[in-house]
Amino acid sequence: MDDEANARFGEFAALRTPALLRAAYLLTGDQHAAEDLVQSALAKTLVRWRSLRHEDPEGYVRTVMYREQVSWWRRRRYHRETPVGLPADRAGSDPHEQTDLRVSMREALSRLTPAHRTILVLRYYEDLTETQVAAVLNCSVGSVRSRTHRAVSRLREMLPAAEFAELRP
Amino acid sequence: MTTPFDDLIRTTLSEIAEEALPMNLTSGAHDRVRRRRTTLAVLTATAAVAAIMIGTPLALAATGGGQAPAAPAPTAPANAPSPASAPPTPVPSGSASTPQTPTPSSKGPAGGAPSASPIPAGPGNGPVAGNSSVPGNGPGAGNGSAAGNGSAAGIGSGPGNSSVAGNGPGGGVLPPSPYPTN
Repeated sequence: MDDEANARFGEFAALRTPALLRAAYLLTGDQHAAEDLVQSALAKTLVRWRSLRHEDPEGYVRTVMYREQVSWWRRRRYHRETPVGLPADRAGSDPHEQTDLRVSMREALSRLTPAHRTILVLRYYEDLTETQVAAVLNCSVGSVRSRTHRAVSRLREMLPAAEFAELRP
Repeated sequence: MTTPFDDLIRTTLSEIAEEALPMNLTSGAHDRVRRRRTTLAVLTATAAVAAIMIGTPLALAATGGGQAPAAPAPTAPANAPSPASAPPTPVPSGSASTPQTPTPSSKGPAGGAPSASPIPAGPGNGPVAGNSSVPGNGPGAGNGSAAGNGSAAGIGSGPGNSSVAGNGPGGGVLPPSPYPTN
């Protein structure tokens, strides 16, 4: 790769890495795993940078990231660890986060499978449509719909009934 | 249309996303690509070498390219005695009358043990073994140069060495000798 392409890739990575890291952190729930995921996606993008730089490189990186996260989860699904306790409180966090409902939601999100969490991130954080999510994950729109429904249902099951009652109209 | 539950999911996801620490991952991505290329090159070279090492003998065996190695020639033992090349043993002749040529076969007038492997001309060549091509063989001398057969036959044959070259008196295949044997 020539110097110009290297410079353009460095510029793109420096500009978009924070946003990519946020999405990766949502997908993995761990800072180091998020860095590893973004770095792997950037490396795969760098290999194909010549053909991508005139298109949408960020979309390519995000697609690689989401698919890779699901692939890693599928590879490790037989020996993955499931957190059984509450996550430790973080120093200096938002006081509003300390509400029971949000703590419970965080815990429930962390206990979702990566496939379900990916669907929720794409739908509720990235605000992608079902068609766009289907294109990113290389599956059908019906599959996206059913997976989203299952993920939300799982979240509702995991939330305590008393706290969940507050959300009912 | 969004429900309060959807809003809660969005809010929680946004809060979690803000916890991610920004990092510069560009150099790490470059290193990872370089490492992947190196690994690919090493694996390709290893596979090529393995294919050559496995395929070359198989290809040679399939085409039969090499000539079969020659069978080793049988070598005679170095110290094997050869009857043809056995040096003649000088034998003191029992008769002084024929000192011209050394007798290759017999040691005495009665014939002796052969110095080389004998070729029997016939059992019991008789006291007058003959058929010798060497003149001056004593009576009872064996056949030819490897004489010595019928050593007992020559006993008492007397000093009458044959003066006729090549024909010992009383040769086995010749008519009986006119000379007395006793």
